Amino acid sequence: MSDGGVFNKISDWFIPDDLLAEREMRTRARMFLVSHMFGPILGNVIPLYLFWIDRKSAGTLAVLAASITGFWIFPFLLKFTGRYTLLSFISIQNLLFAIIWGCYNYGGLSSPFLPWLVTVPLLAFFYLGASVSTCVTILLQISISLGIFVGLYAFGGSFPHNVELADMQVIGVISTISASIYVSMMALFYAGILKSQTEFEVEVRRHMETAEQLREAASQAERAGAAKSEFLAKMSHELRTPLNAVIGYSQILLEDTDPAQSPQDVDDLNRIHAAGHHLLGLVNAILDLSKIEAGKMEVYIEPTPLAPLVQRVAERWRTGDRLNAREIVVRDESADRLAQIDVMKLEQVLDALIDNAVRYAPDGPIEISISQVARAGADATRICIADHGPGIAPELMPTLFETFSDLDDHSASKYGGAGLGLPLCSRLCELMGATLGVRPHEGRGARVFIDLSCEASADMALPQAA
Amino acid sequence: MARILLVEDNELNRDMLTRRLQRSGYEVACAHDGPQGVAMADALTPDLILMDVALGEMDGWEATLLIKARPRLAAIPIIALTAHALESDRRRSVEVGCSDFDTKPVDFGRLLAKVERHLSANLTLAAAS
Repeated sequence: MSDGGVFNKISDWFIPDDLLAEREMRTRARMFLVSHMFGPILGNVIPLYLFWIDRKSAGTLAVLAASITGFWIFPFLLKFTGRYTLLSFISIQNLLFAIIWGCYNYGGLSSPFLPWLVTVPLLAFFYLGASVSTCVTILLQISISLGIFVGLYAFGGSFPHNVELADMQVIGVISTISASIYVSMMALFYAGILKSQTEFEVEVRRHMETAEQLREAASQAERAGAAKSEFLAKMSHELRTPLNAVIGYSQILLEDTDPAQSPQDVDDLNRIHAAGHHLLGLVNAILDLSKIEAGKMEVYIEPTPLAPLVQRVAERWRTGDRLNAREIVVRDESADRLAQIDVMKLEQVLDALIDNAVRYAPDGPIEISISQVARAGADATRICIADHGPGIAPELMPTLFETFSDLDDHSASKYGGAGLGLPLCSRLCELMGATLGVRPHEGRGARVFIDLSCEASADMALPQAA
Repeated sequence: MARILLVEDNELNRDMLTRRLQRSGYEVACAHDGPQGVAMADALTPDLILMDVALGEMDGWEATLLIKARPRLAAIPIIALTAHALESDRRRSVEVGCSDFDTKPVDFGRLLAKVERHLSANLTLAAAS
């Protein structure tokens, strides 16, 4: 209904909150208000017409008009007492009274007021619903009221004769029209309510469908996540097994080959072995990146002294064969501080960064320093790896941590990188709550640093040695 | 000559390790899965066991637990071999009673050093008792 909004606002003012809260009661109360606000307008047409043709029955008509106009009091009674059910029954009783008073005074059993009886059960249904107790009470009210009426007729003689039969026909027409308008108004209002209820139900059904789709999507995502983990685990195993064979058998052959007798074979086997290791590094990096991206990377953070860890890594490189007589220098200003890190992951990162330094800076020592810095107002421990190579061109800085970008294709082929090292290291650091940073120092060597947030070491306990 | 039991389901890994261990002077027996590993440990009473963790229906941890549960075999050092370098694997190896653990791909020199270390430790224990 186009003016439903305004009308509802006015009618809702009369309706107590507890009725407004529940949809069915709200509908019924609004019907009650429509009926009582507009009913008297339609109903009073009849006594007004009767007064016009029958001045001498002013008193009778006054009673009738009072009864009809009395319906206008009911909204206010509802507002101030909230006794909805009681007021509904009283209202219906009032209506019955008005009808029977009219019948008694104008035409008896063939009164034009009788059609209005039809509205009584209809209104009872609108106001109170169709429960058994309502039906029974209404039937009783109608029966008793009609019974009194018939009784008056049976014992009281004939009905007063106030108006001529001809005029009664006009009243009949007026009565029927006003009753029809009244019933139509109620029906239209009710149809409007039904329509908005249907729209409401359509909305609700749409929301429920959306919720169902969301549930389905969530469980699909979960299944996909589980499938991803399974795939990662399986791939990890499937890829590493043949790689182990390449690395292992080339090693065995190397041990069997006499370099004096077959130096070319030794070279070839070394290449196979190196290629196998290289491939393994790539596979591990890709699998690690996928794992981190899928949120499946395990991290075990524990307070760890940094200096021994760094020394251990440096020593491993020194006893390895990649350094080629270059130096690794460790400068330790850590003062035995502990940091919250995952030991294996930090070692992995340091290995990758030193590997970068070895590859991109062919000469000069590699320096690893542990120091204290202030970052964002808090203390942090910084591990810095510096080399003396060509450094990194500033224009390459933005893409440094993107996977698969490398310094440039030329250096990629020369230095054998695949652009996975820094992005993976960066993500591994993030997992530990650390930050990885790079200072290009072009021409003077690159400087890569890891900032680890540290808390006061005094109250950190070392894990019990296994 | 010390006898090593290798429990490993992958044929290539078995072959590589066996040959290199034999070349280093050890006698090597192989089991293909967990149940066979436990049975052979029982039958042969090896001096050291190399236990691959990813074995199949019964994994290496379970087989280790079963071996350690037998009093006659409980003293045999077991080195777990895993494909991942996970902290959780390291903890698990300690939990089930492994003496050590190593990762694949096997750095043979590193593994050999561990094998020698645990064998000599056991010999010293055996001699002392």
